[in-house]
Order: sequence, then C-alpha cells, then structure tokens
Amino acid sequence: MIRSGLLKGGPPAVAAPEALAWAASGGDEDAFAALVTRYQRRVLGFAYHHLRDPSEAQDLAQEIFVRLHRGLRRFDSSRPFEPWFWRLAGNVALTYRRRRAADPAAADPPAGLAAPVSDDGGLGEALAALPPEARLPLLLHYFSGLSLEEVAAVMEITLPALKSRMHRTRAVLREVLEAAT
Amino acid sequence: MTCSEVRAVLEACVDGELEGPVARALQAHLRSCADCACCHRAAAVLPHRIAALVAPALPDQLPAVRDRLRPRPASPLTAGLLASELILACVALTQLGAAGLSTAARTALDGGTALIDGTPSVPAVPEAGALVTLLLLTSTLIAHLAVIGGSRPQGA
Repeated sequence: MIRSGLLKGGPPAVAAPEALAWAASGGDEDAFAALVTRYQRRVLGFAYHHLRDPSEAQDLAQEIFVRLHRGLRRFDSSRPFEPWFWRLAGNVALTYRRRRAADPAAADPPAGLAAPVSDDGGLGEALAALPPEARLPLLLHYFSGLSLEEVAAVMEITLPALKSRMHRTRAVLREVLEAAT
Repeated sequence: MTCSEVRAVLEACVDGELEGPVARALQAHLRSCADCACCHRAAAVLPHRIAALVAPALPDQLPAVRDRLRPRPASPLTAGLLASELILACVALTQLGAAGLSTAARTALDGGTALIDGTPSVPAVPEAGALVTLLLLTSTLIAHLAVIGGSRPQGA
C-alpha cells in the first residue's frame, strides 16, 4: 500500500502529532486514537463555543474526527499537523452550522441542554449571540491558534476583509461586555 | 482625536496596525481620557479572554468516533427498498421492450403500406403503459433514495 507520508517525505523525526498523523494515515488505529485523545478537549471546546450546546458540540466534535480519519491520507507529514487539522475543523464547523441552519428541527437547541460555563464574564454568551460568520474567525484564531492567513482561507475571504471583520466583531463584543458590567 | 474616533480604531491599535501621527494622537488621547483608556484595556485583553475560554467537561469522544467509523451492513429497510426497486425496473424494461418491438413492427407495416399507397407513415409513439411505468419507477426511485438517505446514520 502506498502511503501519502512516504510520497511526501516520510515520517517526521520530532513532531509527535505529525508522526501520529503519518502512522494513522497508514491505518494505525492506535495512532488515530492518540490523536483523538490529544485534541478532543480543544475540539470540544471549539465546538461548544461555536454551537453553545453540549450535545451538538459532541456531535460536531465527532464529525471533525471522522473527517480527520477520512482526510489523513491527504495530510503532508512534512508540514505541521495543527494548522492543517484546525483548517479541517473550521471547514467542518462551517458546513455543520449551515446544514444545521437548513434543518428546522435542529435550528434551535433543546431547552435545558446548554450548560452554564465558568465565570467568563459573559463572554461566552456574547460570542454565542454573534452570527457564525463573525464568531468562527475569532474562535479559529484566538482559541484554536490558526494564523490569520489560515482563517482567511477557511472563511474564503481576503486577509484585509478578515481583519476588518475581526476588528468589527471585537468592537461589538467589547461594547456588549462593557454594557453588561 | 475625539473619543469616537479613538473607539473606532482601538482594535487596530491593539493589533499594532496603527503607526505615525495617528498612533501618536491615539496614545496622547489615551493618556488624557480615562474612559477611552479603559476601553483600550478591554480591547487589549479580549483576545486573551477568548483564548482562555473553557467548555463544560464532556465525555470521551473516542468510542463514539470509532462507532461512526465502523462500516455498517446495509439495513433490512435499504435492502427491501432496493429489491422492490429492482423488480419495478425489470417490469419497466419488459414493458419498454415489448413496446419497442410492437412499435418497430407497426412502423415496418406502416412503411410497407406507405410504399404501396404513397401516403406518409405516422411517426412511432411509445406505448402509454410503458411511459407510465417509467414515470412510476422514477418517482419511486426518488422516494426510496430519500428514505435511504434519511435513515442513514450521520458520519457512517
């Protein structure tokens, strides 16, 4: 069997996620399990703050890992894993949200499921009130650590447009939080 | 700079995108305006607050992910629908074949008559029964695909 990792430079020597991804792309299920275990807390956090519903967040997180499993053969193991992975997660989150919006049965989360979370000073609620197109870039950049260029690629907008959108969104958030205090 | 002008560029200032006279004017305003200085501090910490957001503790997703990745055999519903689809297709093909043969025979007869009489032959028209069956088959196929699509588990 030809593995994409072999074609693109072989297994990386030091970076563990890249090595795990390379092994998982060759069918090593333990390596894939290690990737899930390693990233699930951050993926669940990202999914939760995107959807603001624990049940939906778990569904989205599972979908992200399923898509990761299916897409690992396309991963170039000579490049960093995290930007590639979070770009994939961002794309899955975008399509998940669109599909959810198109499904009237899933549009509104069931009452009582949204768990109150920590003392973030209302930031989580303020983020949730934003439109997804405004919220996702903030989460991808600040929460998941994607570069602005990578976020722009996920959102399919130019870098200046992304910066402008993020400035506007942060200003809105700042004003909402200021009004709440 | 006025307060509203300052508030409009606070995020750009936090990102280090202001320079020259605008940056200097903004810094001078921030030194003299406590409200705008407070907003500036809020704008500066916001990215860090987003980065530090926490989510509720949720269960290990690995078993659910593995379950979604497990290949699933065709369900009895899918198999049943596909079987009935196959039967309908056979009926339609049989009818179409019979219709085609009868039309070909009629055309040949009409052609012969036309040659003798000198009258033009009537163009061949497919059998109405065959068309109706084909229509039924297509609509049934669409309905079945919708049922199969709706019953498929997510991610499987």
